[in-house]
Amino acid sequence: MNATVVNPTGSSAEAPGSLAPRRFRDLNGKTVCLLDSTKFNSDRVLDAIGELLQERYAVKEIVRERKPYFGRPVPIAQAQKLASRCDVVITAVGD
Amino acid sequence: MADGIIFEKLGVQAATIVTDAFSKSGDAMARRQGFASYRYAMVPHPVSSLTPEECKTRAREILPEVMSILGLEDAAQAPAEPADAAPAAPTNGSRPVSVEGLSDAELRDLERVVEHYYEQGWTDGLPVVPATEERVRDFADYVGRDPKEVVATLAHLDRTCTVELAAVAAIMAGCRKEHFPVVLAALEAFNAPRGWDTGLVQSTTGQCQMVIVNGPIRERLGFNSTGNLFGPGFRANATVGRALRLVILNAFGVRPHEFDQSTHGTPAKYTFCIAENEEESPWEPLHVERGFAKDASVVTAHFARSNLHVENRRSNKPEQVLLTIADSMSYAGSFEAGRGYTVVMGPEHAQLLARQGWTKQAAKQFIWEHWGRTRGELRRFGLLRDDGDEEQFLRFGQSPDSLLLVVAGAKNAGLSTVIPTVSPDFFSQAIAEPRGA
Repeated sequence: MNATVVNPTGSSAEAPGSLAPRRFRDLNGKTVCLLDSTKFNSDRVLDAIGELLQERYAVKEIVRERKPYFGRPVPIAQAQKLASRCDVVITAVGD
Repeated sequence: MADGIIFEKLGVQAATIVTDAFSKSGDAMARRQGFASYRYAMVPHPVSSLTPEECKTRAREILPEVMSILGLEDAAQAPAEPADAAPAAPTNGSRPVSVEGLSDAELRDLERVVEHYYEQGWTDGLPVVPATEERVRDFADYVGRDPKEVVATLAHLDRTCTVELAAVAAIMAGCRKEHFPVVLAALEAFNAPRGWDTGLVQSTTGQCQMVIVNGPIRERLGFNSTGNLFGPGFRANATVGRALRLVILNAFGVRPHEFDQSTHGTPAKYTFCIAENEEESPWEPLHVERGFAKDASVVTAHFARSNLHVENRRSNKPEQVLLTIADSMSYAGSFEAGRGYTVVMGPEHAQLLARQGWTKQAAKQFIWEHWGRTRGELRRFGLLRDDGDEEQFLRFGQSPDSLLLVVAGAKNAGLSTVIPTVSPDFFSQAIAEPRGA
């Protein structure tokens, strides 16, 4: 006979995700969102990336956004707003 | 204490003067030396912060006792008792002790269960107590709550902790069921805005969960509020704090090298629970300050980064003690993310302040005003980029309420401890009376 102990771990029911389709080969005429995490220097890195992209492509517009707080995911309302306005989003994680 | 005894053993008559806060450890040392009823001269604690004149007064007061112990002729009292018999032979090394009603085979079984928990990756690195279904039910019944009821939520990871999972963690941590209401209150305290929802359990800042217990439950369950406050030796403190970490590791699934991104963390992540020393505090207890009745039992919890001692045994001036505390809170490395603090003031510091008319609020105000650095210093460290007056003093805290002031520890030295937190968010929650008691 086996003894029984209670499993201490929680679980979450997350369905396997899939990436958005890769629809373009370049960023000409596209709107690019740079989403800043609020971490120190994340703004500088993203700004530099924006400049580099603009050198390479005829980007239509760079949208600079900041999420409210780095410790949490971007609020869904902010994400939806950016998704409807931008073709691609570049975000950053780390310190 | 040992010194006087050493001289006695060398054949030199000796007298030892001890401040009363150390009588217990002095007695223990004398026993260890084989002098179970060693007589010494006791003076009121503290001595280190007395003025020279006060020291002379102490000396005059204690002199007759010292002379008596030395057996001097003009002493008012009788000569000292002769020392006890020589100590028993040392008892170093292991000796078997039997555990009543438990067989060796059963002990081996327990070892296997402990190893099973390790193999599953369910521990904090220390052995845990097995959580059986029966015991989990017993814990849930004790608090009279549905095992499936959610008590804490980590929304951004889509994880919850139910009464059942909290009970499992509490059992594994070594709690008795009587401790479980305190664990639940601490978990629920962090449900407040800027608690679990900040994601700070995953932060590189490596914060732990500090739990401060107030009210009558401290004594009922044996929470330590005095000596060795942050150290080992007390089941209630150790197991309640540890239960929170096991919830985070298992129920929330926030494990090191994965979701837990701590750069260093802190040993307090194993367990961090203290009680306020309300009995030796000159001020109202923390929970009363925060709006609860004095006879309520309450936890106040927050994220905490580290634990830094503040020593000033010499000064007897409140401003100097408070400046030492504020200066210790103002080290450069805390500038970036140390915008809240819990000041755990030792009873000796607190009583020194109160004797000279200082209220708790006045102490908090003073600390806040002196907690910070000049712009020039912060620029020198590369922590600040802005221009402006180099001499301007920049306060690290937004207001005196960026501080909690708790009185705890032993009343045996001029010591306090400061505990920084990323942001000044402190959560209080009443501990529910058990319904199934």
